[in-house]
Amino acid sequence: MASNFFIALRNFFVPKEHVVNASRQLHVLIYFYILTACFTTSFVLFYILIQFEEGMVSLGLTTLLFFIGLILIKQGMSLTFLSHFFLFSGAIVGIIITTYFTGGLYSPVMPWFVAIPIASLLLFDSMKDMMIWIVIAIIGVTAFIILALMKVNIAHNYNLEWKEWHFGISYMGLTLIIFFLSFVFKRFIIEKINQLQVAQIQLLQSEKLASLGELTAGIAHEIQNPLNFVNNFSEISVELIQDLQEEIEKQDPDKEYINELFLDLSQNQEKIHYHGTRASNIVISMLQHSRARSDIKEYIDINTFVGEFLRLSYHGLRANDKSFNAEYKLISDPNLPKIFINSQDFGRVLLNLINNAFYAVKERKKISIDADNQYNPTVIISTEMIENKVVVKIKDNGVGIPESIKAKIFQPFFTTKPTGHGTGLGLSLSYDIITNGHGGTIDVVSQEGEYTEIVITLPLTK
Amino acid sequence: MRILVVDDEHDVSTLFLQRFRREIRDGLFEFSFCFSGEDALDYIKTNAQEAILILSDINMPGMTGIELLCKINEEIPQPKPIVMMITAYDDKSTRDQAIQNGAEEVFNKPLDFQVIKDKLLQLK
Repeated sequence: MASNFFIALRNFFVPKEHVVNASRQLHVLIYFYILTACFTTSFVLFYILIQFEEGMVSLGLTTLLFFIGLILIKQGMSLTFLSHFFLFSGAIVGIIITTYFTGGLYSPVMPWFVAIPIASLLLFDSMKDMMIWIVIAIIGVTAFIILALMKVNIAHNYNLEWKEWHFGISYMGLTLIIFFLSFVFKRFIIEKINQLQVAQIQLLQSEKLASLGELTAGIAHEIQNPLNFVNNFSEISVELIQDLQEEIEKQDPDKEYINELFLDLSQNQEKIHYHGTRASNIVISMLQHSRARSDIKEYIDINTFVGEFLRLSYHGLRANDKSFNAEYKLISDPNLPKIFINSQDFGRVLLNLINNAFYAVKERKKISIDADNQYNPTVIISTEMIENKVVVKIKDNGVGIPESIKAKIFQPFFTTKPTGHGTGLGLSLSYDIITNGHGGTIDVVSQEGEYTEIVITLPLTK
Repeated sequence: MRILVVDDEHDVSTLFLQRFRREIRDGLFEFSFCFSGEDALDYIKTNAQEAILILSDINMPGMTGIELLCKINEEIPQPKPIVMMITAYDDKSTRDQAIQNGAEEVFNKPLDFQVIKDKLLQLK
């Protein structure tokens, strides 16, 4: 109720052309004018009560100036001018003159000097404007100190019988007005912070959209290549069949040529299938990458889970390539607590990373066959608890990652695998799942030609 | 005429051999294939005496098509081979860069083999 009244009152003074888009600064200024005008009015009433004429004049004039200021606001004058006008009315006419007539350094109005620098800090953006009023306040205080030291007689022109009331009302008013002004300003700051937070979220969102855009271009290109092959090989197959038909209808068909055509046809069908599968794999990875993930998290025994995926990966690779072989080991900390994770997502991360590790040792094995046969391909996973976090390390003694590409490995579509063997989405997907999905970290330590170690850190959450 | 095709996609060789089956049978063209810019440069150096035409992809891992084009300009003595480029990203800057470095033609992916065939026959 009260706040609605204040808002209605405030909006009354907002210039018509700014009603929709009034700045917060303008609102603060209007509150300053209204609140201080209320206080000076009550002082004027008090001075009428105690029949203190000089006070009635100086604070009556101040109140009048405040109302003129409010009218000027409504006319749409500049904020800086109106802020200076406010301080001129309040500080010079209100505080300094009234202090002089109520006893200088010993006046009940003296503490109001405190309000001058506070108001100037809240009202102005520019340091120069603020400094003007801080300097005026200091000069004013200094002047009254000097007058007192020089024992210049300043009459207490008000009825001293009301001395306690006068001090009381003045101090109480100051206390309240500083609270109100700070309160308004605090709300102003909080609103600014909220706006910043909203802007930040929008920025993140647009960043995501931008990366989706990059992704789309990449996908289009990645899929276009296999599709070109599918189109080309199917078109050629039609031509081959026509050739075949012509050859068969001849009086003396060339059997060798017919065989050659059949061979080409069969080869083309294989190519079409291969490139079709390649395009389809890219789409599948893509869907995994962009799919709104199921947010179901559950408590998982990390050791069992990692062990399952290690075997799954190894046997998967063995099934595709019988010649592939590598040692693998899980060094687990048996005292790990269960951790709360999205098992579907985390499984995908493990599979990606373990497959990469096996791929790296396989590549190194290929190179070392000629060099020496001493190489022992090994993938070791360890789990442990470090500083209240679960750490999973996947280490392989494979080909390692060259320094030059370390920064790129988490980027979408970056891959070192030959065309058609990697989509370049595995690590970028893993990074997203660990950091955004689980609030963890994923780091890479590697020495080219020696080893690669991926370190996943997951916080323990309820 | 010998045509050297440079592309990191291995199946490009099968594709060209089948697309130009008749021309190859008729002895109009002979094809060689390299799967990286580096290999292509070696091939051109060792077969310098042979008049060849080079058809190279631009986007390849390692040495790109444009880099290959520059290397040919620097390292291969006269007469320079005719070089034509292939790109999946048809933007003006790539095209200009290729032409500035002396490329005869820039073809877009997906390739229109009829256009390439006409161009090759015209050069012959």
